[in-house]
Amino acid sequence: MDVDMLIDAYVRDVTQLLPRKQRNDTALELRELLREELRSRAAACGGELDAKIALEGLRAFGTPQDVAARYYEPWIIIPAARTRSFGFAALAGALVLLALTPLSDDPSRGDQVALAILAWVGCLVAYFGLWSAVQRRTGAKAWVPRDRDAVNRAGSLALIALIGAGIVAYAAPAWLFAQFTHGHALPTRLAYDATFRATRLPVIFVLWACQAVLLAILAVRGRWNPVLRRVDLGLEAGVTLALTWFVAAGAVFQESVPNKFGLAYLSSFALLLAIDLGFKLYRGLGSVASLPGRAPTSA
Amino acid sequence: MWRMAHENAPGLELELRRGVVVLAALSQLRAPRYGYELRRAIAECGLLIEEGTLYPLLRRLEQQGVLTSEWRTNGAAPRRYYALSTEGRRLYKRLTETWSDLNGAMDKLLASGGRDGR
Repeated sequence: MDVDMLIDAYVRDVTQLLPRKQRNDTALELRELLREELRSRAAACGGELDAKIALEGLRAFGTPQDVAARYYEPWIIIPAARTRSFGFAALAGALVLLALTPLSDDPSRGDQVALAILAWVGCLVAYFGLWSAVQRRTGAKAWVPRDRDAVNRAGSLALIALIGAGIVAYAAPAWLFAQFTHGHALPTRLAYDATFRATRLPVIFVLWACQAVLLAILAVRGRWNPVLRRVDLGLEAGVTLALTWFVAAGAVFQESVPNKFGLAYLSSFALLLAIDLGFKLYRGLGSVASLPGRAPTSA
Repeated sequence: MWRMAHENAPGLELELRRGVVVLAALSQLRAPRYGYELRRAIAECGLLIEEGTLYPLLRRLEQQGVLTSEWRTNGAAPRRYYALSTEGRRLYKRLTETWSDLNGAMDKLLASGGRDGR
């Protein structure tokens, strides 16, 4: 390639990365400026401008990507400061989708999960891109302080009610079924395995009751503190272990079909809790100390 | 630690230089100049600016209304000449004042810190 061809190739590579309306004008200017720069470079070397000097000069000018990015403010889909958030969201979504997989009995579920993960990542890219485009157009909003230790009292009370309903539903499903169906009996295929009911099921009720007590304390206090956070993590870990034990220990229902679905449901739920627990632990370990602050230790 | 700082030094120096590129360019554009001519004028004053940084910067400043531009074809090759707009003159004045303040503050900091870093 001769000098003109090199310059043309470089200018084309730069301008192709620019918005369409800027291309021709920028190409005309850049081509002339590069010629002048390269002639000057050759003169400084005491020789004629040749392809070798031109190539060196163009490389010194910068990569076409870098130069193009300097010509305008490019739209950044995932800003550097949000890359970790994107990575976490993508990973968490993929894990959740994998966790839900056992619920499906479809032989093509592997393909479906792969597609679902791709769709999730695509949705994330669209969300982050839209957020970035809005920020670019409107400018960053002023920071709004968030009190991470504040407790939503109404939310806590709603969760207590949900736990109560859950205990009733799992402890006395036949009674609950009769209440909603004008006295009809629960289908026999949904009867619990006797050992499960007698030895394992009560464990989860005790753990849920402890969680309800914790929520009641939070609703009264209105704030988290480090001790309550540790208790919360401990109870969640307990529930996760209990569910894992249920999956490993044997039958939940007397009949095989509901048992299969029941175990799949339990394993998915245990995995979701484990993921949530992992994120809470990671965030807890990575968070900075609250007041009163600890002086950072130098290595 | 020293090695890391030493390896990063060229990048940090480049960043420091880039901070003054806009003011340097504006200072030389009270009269119209084209890109290469502007870079030479700045270089003659002792400030070397990468061409890959300066030329795109001129276009961006023009898009922001700081510079005006026009094509001139009376020479051997068509050249785009840039000059300060009214808004650009105001910006230049403001940046000059900021630079003076910064310069004064940095002089004091460097004098109290010692020039050789010891």
